Amino acid sequence: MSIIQVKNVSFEYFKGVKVLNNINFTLNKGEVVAIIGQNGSGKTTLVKHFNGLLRPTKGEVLINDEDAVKKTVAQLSHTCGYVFQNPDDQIFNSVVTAEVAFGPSNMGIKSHELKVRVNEALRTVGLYEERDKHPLDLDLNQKKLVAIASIVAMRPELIILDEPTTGQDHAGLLRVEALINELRKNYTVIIISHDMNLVARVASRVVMMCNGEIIFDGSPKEAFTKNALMKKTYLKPPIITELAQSLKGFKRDVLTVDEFMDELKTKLKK
Amino acid sequence: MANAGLTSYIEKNSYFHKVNPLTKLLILICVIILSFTLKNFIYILALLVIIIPIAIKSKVLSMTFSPIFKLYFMFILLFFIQGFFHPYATEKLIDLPFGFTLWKDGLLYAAYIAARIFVMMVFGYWFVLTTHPGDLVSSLSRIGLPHALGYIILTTLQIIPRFRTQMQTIIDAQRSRGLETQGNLIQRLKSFVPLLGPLFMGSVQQAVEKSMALEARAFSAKGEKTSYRQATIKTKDKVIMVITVLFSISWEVLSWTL
Ligand SMILES: Nc1ncnc2c1ncn2[C@@H]1O[C@H](COP(=O)(O)OP(=O)(O)OP(=O)(O)O)[C@@H](O)[C@H]1O
Ligand SMILES: [Mg+2]
Repeated sequence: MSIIQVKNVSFEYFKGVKVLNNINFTLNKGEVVAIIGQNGSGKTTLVKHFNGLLRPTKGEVLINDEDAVKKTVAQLSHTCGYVFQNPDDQIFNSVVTAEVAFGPSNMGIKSHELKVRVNEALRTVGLYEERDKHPLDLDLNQKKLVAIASIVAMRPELIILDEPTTGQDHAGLLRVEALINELRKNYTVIIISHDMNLVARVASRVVMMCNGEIIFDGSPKEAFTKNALMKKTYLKPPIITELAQSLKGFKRDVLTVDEFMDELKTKLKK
Repeated sequence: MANAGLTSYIEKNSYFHKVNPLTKLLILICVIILSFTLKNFIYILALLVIIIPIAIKSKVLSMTFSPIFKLYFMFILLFFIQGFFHPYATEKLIDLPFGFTLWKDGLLYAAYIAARIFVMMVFGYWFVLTTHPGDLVSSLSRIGLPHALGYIILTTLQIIPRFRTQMQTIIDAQRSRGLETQGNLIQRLKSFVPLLGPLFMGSVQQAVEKSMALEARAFSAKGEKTSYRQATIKTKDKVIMVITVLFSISWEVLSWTL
């Protein structure tokens, strides 16, 4: 079951400057896809096509097999929830619950159901205790979670997180990781991230972008062994992967410390 | 955008880009004075004959005139209102049904105002297109503009495009949460708070941070300030200035004597 099909999509902000170049991409239900690539490679531009914020200059985007061009952003947001990078660009309410209720109330969700959704979303992101606070009294990590909750409360099929970990401390990082693992139970997830450790640990699929093109699309294990491709778009695999790759006889697709330890143990036994 | 962050200035290698900002400012001031004092709108419109070769030599001809054409509706309205409802009109042009009268002096008055706006906007826009704000402020500082005031002018100019991109991001973020920003008046009014709230909070925060960043770099230090961008007054500037002043005076005299 595919949620999104992108067919031969090209996009230009200004005539003659292709920011996306003939992109083909299919997103299936239940995946956790990480889109990676250097600054300016077109990641944000691509995902903004999924909820209609941008419309392709060429090609087409199908959302649940229907042409996205025919629908407004508000309609598409029922299916594709996009969390912006900077929570300050959206927070305007004086209470966390009101902020989270904004999305579903735009969808026409009423009283009881609205409360249920808001509370559930706040529990999902772990902000239920903070629900009566002023959003601007929260720290950056928590503000980011408010932004995520405000999309979760809309119950889309797909949740897109644009750089969920930038500017976060280690605690924030762990929380985001736990949250993604929570979200994957009920939602299809796309993350855009420069944090390869996060990608290695949560992604079921990696899409690598470079100069507006998809240069790799496959499993994380495969992605991090493509050193030449990674280099082309200025990416580095996680340190533990690099360590394993530099050791003779080790598997080249080790992604986590646990996998590394397993590998080490079997080597030592021999 | 190639010029994002700096007003409408367009970086080009042209004769008038290299002319000192003060020279161009003098031209602009003369044009403004002329358009308020010339006797008749024909004399004002004739100034356009001068701006065309100047704009061509500045390589910004189409851009100099483009904003004015977006205002065509305002001009139509101006002629309509003044033509029919000019308060001191005395000279009838045509009598229309339903008691409406088109007044000749009303139309002339509208033409006078329109010519003024047209000429000032075209020259003003040419000035903005060809003058780097940094050069303008540093030149003004050197003839006595207070340093802090110069900085205020500069940041105000820079903040407009910043606001525009910031606003676009906020609009996108709220639309992603199902906000309808288009549609009828009520829908638009409803979207006011979600859009202006983050913009306002963001600007307050930025202003605070900006002022601290300035202090951290000795903005309020006493003593002489130097400037990275420096525009000197060359011989060609002096020549242009003299021609501008001489022309303005003679054009003014001509309009009242002929
Ligand atoms: N609103 C815009 N107007 C014009 N050009 C834009 C706009 N947004 C992005 N671009 C340009 O499009 C290209 C791709 O930008 P995009 O934001 O999609 O990259 P990205 O992969 O998300 O990068 P990052 O990792 O920095 O977020 C860049 O060259 C950028 O300068
Ligand atoms: Mg981006």
